[in-house]
Amino acid sequence: MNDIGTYVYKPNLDAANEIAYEAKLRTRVINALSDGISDQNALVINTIGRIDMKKSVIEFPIIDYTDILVLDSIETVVTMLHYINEADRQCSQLINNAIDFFENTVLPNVEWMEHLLRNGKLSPQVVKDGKNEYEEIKEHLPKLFYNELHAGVGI
Amino acid sequence: MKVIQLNNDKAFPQQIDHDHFQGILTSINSSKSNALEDIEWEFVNVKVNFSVVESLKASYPFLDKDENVNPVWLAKVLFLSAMEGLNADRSIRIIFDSIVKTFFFMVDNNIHIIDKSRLQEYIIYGLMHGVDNNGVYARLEPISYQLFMRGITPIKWHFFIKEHSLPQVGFVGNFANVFIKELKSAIESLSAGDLTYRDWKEGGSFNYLTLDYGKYYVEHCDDFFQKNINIAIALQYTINNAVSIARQAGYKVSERDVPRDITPCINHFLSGKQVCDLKEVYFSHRNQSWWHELKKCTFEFFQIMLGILSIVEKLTAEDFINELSSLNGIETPNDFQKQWLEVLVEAECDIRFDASPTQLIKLSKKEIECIKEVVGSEIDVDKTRLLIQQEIDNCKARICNDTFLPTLDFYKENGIEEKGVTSTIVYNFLKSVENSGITSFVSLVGWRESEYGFSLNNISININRDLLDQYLYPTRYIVKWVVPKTNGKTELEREILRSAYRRAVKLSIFIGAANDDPCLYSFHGNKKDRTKSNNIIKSSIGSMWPHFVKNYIPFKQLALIEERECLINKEHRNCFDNDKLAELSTRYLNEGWEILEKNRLLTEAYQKAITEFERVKFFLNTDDRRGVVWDYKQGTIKPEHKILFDTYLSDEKKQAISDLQSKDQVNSEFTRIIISEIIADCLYPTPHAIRHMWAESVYRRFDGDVGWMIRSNFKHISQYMWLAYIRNKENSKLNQRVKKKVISSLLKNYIRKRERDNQGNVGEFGDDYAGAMSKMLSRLLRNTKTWSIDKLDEAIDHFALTEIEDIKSNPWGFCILKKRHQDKANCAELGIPQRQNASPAFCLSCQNNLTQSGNVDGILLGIANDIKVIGNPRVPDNFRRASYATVKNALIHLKKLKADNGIISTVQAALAKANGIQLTMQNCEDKVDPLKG
Repeated sequence: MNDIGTYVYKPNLDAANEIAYEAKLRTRVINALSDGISDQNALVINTIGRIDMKKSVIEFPIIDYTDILVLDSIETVVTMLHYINEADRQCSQLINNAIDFFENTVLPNVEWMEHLLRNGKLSPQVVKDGKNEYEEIKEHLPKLFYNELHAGVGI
Repeated sequence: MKVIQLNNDKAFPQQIDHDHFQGILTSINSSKSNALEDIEWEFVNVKVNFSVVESLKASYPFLDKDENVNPVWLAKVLFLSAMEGLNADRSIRIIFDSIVKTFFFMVDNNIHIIDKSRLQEYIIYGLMHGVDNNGVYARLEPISYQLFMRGITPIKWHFFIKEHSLPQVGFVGNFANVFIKELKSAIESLSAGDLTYRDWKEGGSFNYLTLDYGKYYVEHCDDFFQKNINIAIALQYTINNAVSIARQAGYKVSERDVPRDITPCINHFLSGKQVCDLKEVYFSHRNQSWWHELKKCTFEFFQIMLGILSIVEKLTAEDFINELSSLNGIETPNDFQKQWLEVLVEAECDIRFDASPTQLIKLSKKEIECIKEVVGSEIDVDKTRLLIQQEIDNCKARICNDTFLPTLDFYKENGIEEKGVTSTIVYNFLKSVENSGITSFVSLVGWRESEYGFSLNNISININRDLLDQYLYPTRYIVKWVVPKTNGKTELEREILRSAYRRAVKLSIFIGAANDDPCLYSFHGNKKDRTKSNNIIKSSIGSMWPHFVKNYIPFKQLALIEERECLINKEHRNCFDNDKLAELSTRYLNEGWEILEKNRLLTEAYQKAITEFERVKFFLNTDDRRGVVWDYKQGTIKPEHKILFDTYLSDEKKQAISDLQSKDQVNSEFTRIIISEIIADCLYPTPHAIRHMWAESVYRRFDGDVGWMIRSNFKHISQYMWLAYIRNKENSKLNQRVKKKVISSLLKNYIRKRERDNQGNVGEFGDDYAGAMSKMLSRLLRNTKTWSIDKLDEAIDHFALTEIEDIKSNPWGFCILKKRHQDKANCAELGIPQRQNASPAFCLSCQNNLTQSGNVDGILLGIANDIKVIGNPRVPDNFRRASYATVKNALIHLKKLKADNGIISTVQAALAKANGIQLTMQNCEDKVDPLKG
């Protein structure tokens, strides 16, 4: 009862949806071929499937610094599927031990990834190939969230 | 009445009675003649400079109905009005500061008038700010009641405005009805509800024992408790069993009719004294040989008891734990496996200890059950228990009577003294062990003093269902007990550390607590009140302080270092001096005193403890200071107390005592005011101070400076426990204050750590630290080499308050979030730091990161997964790239923190291997070819 009195737990879905909604609006999916990106090696995809703008050299017309760029690629799909599965696997531990991280980061990311994967934002063929690739290599993929779960105290 | 305009810059406004105010100004003791028009007034020991107020004119125009008001004139008039009839330097400073602060408050808030809605905000501002030549600065601690009330309060301000028809700036309403109410509320709010207005008024301070000072006390108490608890239990049980010992010695005695001389004599023998030392009267009824027989039986009983209690130590020693490991097919047990086996040994010993209460046996069985359920696949619990039981039986059979016996030297070495007939040496020893155990327990849980009356019946043990740390800690220890301050009589479940549980178990055995008796402390009063722990905990927490100051081993060593220094500097040493110097010099080398000498935190704590010792001792011993104020007046006060009164009381208070007419005038209020002046600024342990230290410990549990006891116990505090604490609204304010303290302590420790080369030359600040924050601090302090430590401490406090927003403690380092450039934090998204995402990948290269050698383990654990990833060619490139960068950053930190060479070369090898893979991975790049999609 004390817990209920002082901190009513409930994954804050509204807040998570809001963050995800904002991310969806900021997202631009780019296709290297149709968008005319030639230097493939200059694109660096981070561990949540976004193009890492700090590490990528990209000449792309009218990029706003708030844009989230996602490359329509197998690597992106594999990364996202892995993230979603890891979040699913560890959700109860995340809720118990890193609720802030779960509510403010994991839930919005998962919602955002699902949106890209399911709503045709990433091309269906890429998603299909990505799924196959993921099934093939998933045992080699690193476990996620270990450090976030063990992160320290502060509020 | 026409309001006087104060808009003239040069001349004193004509409408104001010039002569009257010049008269007040002249009447204040001054070294030169001050004129009203001067911007600076110089008095005997203090100057007040109104340019600090003048500087505000540029940033904010003070208006009264569109008329410009010169704040300097207003400040001068208010100052002189308040100073009428006063002369003291202190009053000048206090009144001037309060006026300056009020003007600054108005400018900060862009207001001309402070109304009721802002009153509390203003009070907090006034309490938490000081004034220097540059204006106001934020303070870490609020000013005292005396200082605050002697300044110009809103009520006085309003009065002066009315009296002299001054412009309507500042306090124009009458706040007489609400001022004290708002002040009370401000104090409650600032102290997180822990300091009442009344306590603050009577000198109560917000100045708590900090972790950097208090950790030595906690460590001392814990060491003393662990070292002596078995001896104390054996002594206590021996005394309690006087009847059976007397019977064994051949005396026919019934349980109800124990002769009065038996127990004191058993006590006498246990204190290391001989039969011949007994008083004559004891030999009138019984002859000498009978007393010898009683002494023999007493010792036999004691030794058997101690032998049984010591079995657990033998069985948790490395040899036997290794034997248990081998039994389970574990060749070299890791720390956690050792820990599980230790739990089994301790639980089994408690079960087989005859004096264990039934609830303890139940709890121990539950512990074993939990271990079996969680790690039963790795350890054959039944087989292990069988071996432990056999070994316990073997040990019991081998107990002999040539083991330890308490002697007078033993007590002396442990700092125990006899104080008259009523407090024997054995009793003092037992009480010290109990008090040190209580202090140790309190420091591990950090609850309020009213929350410790629980019994063993209120403790439960459950399986740790959290997969995250279940393997490491299979059991959870829960205390279900009241939290009167916030939840009245409702019992709440709170988790405690296993180390705290073990201390509670030992204490309960020691005091012989029945299942439903409080298990932490002995109780002799009305049984109905036994669970009210307030007073017992309060007095126990402070009672070991004198023992600590006199007996804490590093303090003793520092005293010897001082003695050695004196001998070295002595011009003419005799042969005794030379012998002593040689002995101390040998010990200096052998015991590594050089390290102690260089430890600034320790030496400062030592100096402070020694300097304040007599005052704190006087304060903590309530019996000793009964009637002391009247005794001082009468001249019958003890000489050691007279010195304290003479030295630390102000003339005003001395006069007040001298004016006393009768003893009745010395009421508790008067005494309290006198004592609080003597004890002012001293630090001493209280349950509340320890509560602060507890929260500080959690933040600083990876900090190399906090000491072994804190690190080992708090390092593994579960997130669950911390979240339970932090989710309680009652704790959030305390937590905010603790955070400020932690930031300040961390930074202060940073400046105390300086590199030294072999010649002893001092180098850069922040030896033993790494991270971008370390670099920034180092740059900041580089140009301040000539400052004293006190000055640096002040600068650090100021820096912490003005530049640092927040702190987060991670296993791989502290995140000390700066107020400026928050968008530059690695975890920032759209300019806002997302600190919930903390991980070595973000943190190790972040500008807010500060790491210490205590974080090496955390860094290694944090990159363990990354090392696996970079070594596996099947892992997609984006994961490997991120992990590679993290490991590389980690290596920089590990090198700076002087981690073990083996660790560094392992990490380097992993990076080299990853580089090799990189070269052969070109084909795999096809998979991420964006052109192929």
